[in-house]
Amino acid sequence: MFKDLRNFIFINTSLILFIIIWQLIALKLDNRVILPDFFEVWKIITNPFEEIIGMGSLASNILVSFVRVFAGYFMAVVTAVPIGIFMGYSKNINRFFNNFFNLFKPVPPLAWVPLVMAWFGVSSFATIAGLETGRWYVYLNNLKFSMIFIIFIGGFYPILTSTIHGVRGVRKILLDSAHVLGASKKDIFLKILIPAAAPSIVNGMRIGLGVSWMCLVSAEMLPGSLSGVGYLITHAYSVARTDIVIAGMISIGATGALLDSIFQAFERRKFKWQKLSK
Amino acid sequence: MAETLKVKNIMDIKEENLIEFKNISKTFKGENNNNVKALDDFSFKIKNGEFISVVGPSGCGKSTILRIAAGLLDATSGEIFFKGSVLESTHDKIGMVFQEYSLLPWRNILDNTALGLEFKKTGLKKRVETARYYLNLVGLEGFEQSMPHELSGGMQQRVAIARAMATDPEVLLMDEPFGALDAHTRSLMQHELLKIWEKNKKTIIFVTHSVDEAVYLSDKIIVMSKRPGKIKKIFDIDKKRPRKRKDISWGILTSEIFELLQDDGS
Ligand SMILES: Nc1ncnc2c1ncn2[C@@H]1O[C@H](COP(=O)(O)OP(=O)(O)OP(=O)(O)O)[C@@H](O)[C@H]1O
Ligand SMILES: [Mg+2]
Repeated sequence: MFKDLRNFIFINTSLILFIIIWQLIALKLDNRVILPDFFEVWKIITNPFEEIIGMGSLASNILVSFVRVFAGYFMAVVTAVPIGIFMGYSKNINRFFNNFFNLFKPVPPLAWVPLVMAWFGVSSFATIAGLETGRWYVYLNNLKFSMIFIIFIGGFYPILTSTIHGVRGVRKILLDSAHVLGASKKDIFLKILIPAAAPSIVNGMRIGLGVSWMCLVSAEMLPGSLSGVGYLITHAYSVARTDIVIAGMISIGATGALLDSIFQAFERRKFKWQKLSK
Repeated sequence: MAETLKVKNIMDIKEENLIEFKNISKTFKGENNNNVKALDDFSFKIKNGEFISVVGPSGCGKSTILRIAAGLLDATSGEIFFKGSVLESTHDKIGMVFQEYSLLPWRNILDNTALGLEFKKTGLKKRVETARYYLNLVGLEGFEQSMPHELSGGMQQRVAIARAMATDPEVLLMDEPFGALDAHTRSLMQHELLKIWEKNKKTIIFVTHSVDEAVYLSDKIIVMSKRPGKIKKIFDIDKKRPRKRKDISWGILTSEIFELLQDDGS
């Protein structure tokens, strides 16, 4: 028990030091717009269901953001994983797509904004559902295509790259022995390639989720956005509420870290064989 | 009428060669014309039920022959006939045990052993039964639920043998299967292999570095020259088994093969 506490303090020392220094500087500056008191920010975070500057609560904004990230990320997974598997498997498929994908890879997701706005404007899932009013309209209208596209682009490349890498790295002897044992093409994919590449694919999915989450703020700064943590931050900035800005940033960071650690725990449990069979 | 014909056919196959290597050559294309000629005009006929060993210096193309026979590699020229027809890809009656570790690291030992049966869509119950039977045969009962990384190299290789046997191939290609075993286990496994071979009438092509092992096991020994691999000499061994190391003929044969392997300056 005592040991646990000591351990907890040790691994969080840097964080605690950071907060102390922040607090000291804040007290010295005594300017809420430049650097608010730590406890003001803390109060916002610890009361996530309280209404903030007429924009709903912190929790509800996180939820909206979460659904957006999930929608974009989901699309990134269902496209990048299969494409990556085929590109990793076949030299020709790889050569066919490689230049195309590589050309867009270095383009930062934010640079897509003008084009995406021209394509999608403020249309959303509510537009395809044909809704113009009502409760569902409010929900679906939050899922703007433009935002989801930005988040999708962010998640797509890390997943694609890791998937290709994972499939390429499958030891040839595993494929050879499967062939001799009478594996069909389908067997090769489902029973050899995918399980063998799974650790790398899941690792790519973890990194992709991180990047998708990072793209959130840029996505929620797009016109037509009226909710979400990213929007909360920009809106709070315009009314000089730095404490809300910081609380928003911390929520994004904490949510991202939480998702990442869930992934990591999954990887540790499921892919134990990978570390041990080297 | 049809009956007699059928019987005659089976007789024919028994009489004829099960596998025939006909003028097999293999050149590996390397970077900037750095080609490696691994095999040169390898011709050999194997009858049904024969136990053939291949010995030769490292890099002389022994694994290459087996990979071509398994249908994993195309010969640059020449052909392989299996039961009279040209072998073009893998064949469900030809199994192989590889020189490298080849178990799937994410599957337990039982599921690894049953892999081939899974590909052949055998039912679950039969699969488990067969896999257990062959695991017992290679002395690995009790390890069904272990993962490959929990087994020693020699044990993993025995699983690979059980896995190859489980699909009941007629021809078993074995690439230094006992290389990673200690002397004691090795001699046990040699004994077991002979038992399986005699009982199930398999045809085996067995690559080894051990002349002793080849003499103990085989009907014929192919001695290869160094790269590009050519057949240097074929030894026919008296079929009588078990062979005794103290026999005079044993000593004569082993030393003759040793000498042949040694003077490879030519
Ligand atoms: N895929 C390949 N690409 C290029 N060269 C190859 C390839 N496979 C084998 N070789 C070359 O062909 C030659 C024969 O290789 P092989 O693996 O058949 O030898 P081996 O007799 O099995 O040797 P060892 O006893 O060491 O296992 C070697 O010189 C090797 O470098
Ligand atoms: Mg070899």
